[in-house]
Amino acid sequence: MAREITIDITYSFTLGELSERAGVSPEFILELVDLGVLEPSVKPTKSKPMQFEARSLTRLQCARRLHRDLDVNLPGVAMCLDLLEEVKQLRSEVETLHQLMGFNQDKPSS
Amino acid sequence: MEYKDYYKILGVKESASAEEIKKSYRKLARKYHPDVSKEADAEASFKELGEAYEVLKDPEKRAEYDQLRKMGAFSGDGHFQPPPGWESASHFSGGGFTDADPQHFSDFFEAIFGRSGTAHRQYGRGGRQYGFQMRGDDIHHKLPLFLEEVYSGVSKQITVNIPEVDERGMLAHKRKTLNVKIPAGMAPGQHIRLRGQGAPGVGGADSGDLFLEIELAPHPVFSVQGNDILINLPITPWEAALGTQVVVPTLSGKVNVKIPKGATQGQKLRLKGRGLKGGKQGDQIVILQISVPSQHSKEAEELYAKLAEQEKSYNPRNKMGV
Repeated sequence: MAREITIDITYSFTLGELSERAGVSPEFILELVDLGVLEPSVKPTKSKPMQFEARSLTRLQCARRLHRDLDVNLPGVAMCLDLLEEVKQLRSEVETLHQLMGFNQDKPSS
Repeated sequence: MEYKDYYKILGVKESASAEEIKKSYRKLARKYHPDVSKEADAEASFKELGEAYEVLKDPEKRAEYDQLRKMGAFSGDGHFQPPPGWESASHFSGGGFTDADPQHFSDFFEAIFGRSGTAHRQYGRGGRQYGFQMRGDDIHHKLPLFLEEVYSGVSKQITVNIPEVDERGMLAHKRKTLNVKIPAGMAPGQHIRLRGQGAPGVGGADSGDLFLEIELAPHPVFSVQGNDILINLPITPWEAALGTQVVVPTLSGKVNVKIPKGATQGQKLRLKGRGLKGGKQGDQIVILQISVPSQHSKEAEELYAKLAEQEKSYNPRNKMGV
């Protein structure tokens, strides 16, 4: 029983929505914004509230888990996330280079 | 049900102090944290670890667990049965509950300490369901796609496990199949939201959403670097020397590419606008790889000998000092 579903690609969350969905306090989020871990897609003005992209939600949940499970303080969480991002990027680069060099096909002959 | 040796899971002796338990937990938690770990079973190991620590860090729960161990309430084959009439004094479900995700605890844990206290369950069992509303949980999934699918868009059938709380307040999983139409030109790491397709709400509240994160599956021919597509293109030494036209596959079909005269190994040719869209339009980068047959005819060998004579002055190893 499969139905065709309409999807959202462009959407964003307010601070309150993000806080509810990630199960963290707005203060927690604002501190991560201060640390540069999360970046609002829309900066708050007098008439418009702060908005975040969906990517922020994934990042925020990872931050929450690191904070909760490993007792990392927020500056530490910020550094972890940066390093994780870098590791991910390096891994994909290594994979690309291996693929381009044909590492998987050719073994050196002795 | 399976007996869990919490001391073994945490890698400590039965006589371990609270300090030792904490230390070991922290070390293992770092090793198996699913956001950080490279271990294959990181997620399952981490959950087990959390459960073990939940029990052993709390003197009351630890004492009860030790008592059960002493009573030998499990048979030799590892199957566990709590003694008749067993009831935990700590009453896990009654609150005093920590930060860990309770739905992750095992049957074994629940048999000893009672069912854990998510909001659904507490309210469900306490008969206070009236007027209680809670939005359903969001569900997050990764969606691996082939490069061609990301590029041109695709209709995908996906199956997700949706946690649902039944009328008795018990958590169950329901499989749900959805047809999702992914539009062309999504970028890896981008998210799609399926509104209302997450876990159902409690007490008539809204359902949660389902989020899909686009991921790239490895491709046999193309590699991706940012918005650029990379491809290795094998050519022969004589094609490199003389220049030629070859057919090259791209995401938007085959194209003719001119190999310049005097091309070299590793040389890059840029096919403008043949990469991924999104932000800055990417290109396809063709990397030339000189490919040599593994065997030569006698005639070819003679030609090579002539060539060797002609190109005597070229030493590709002169930077190696040999």
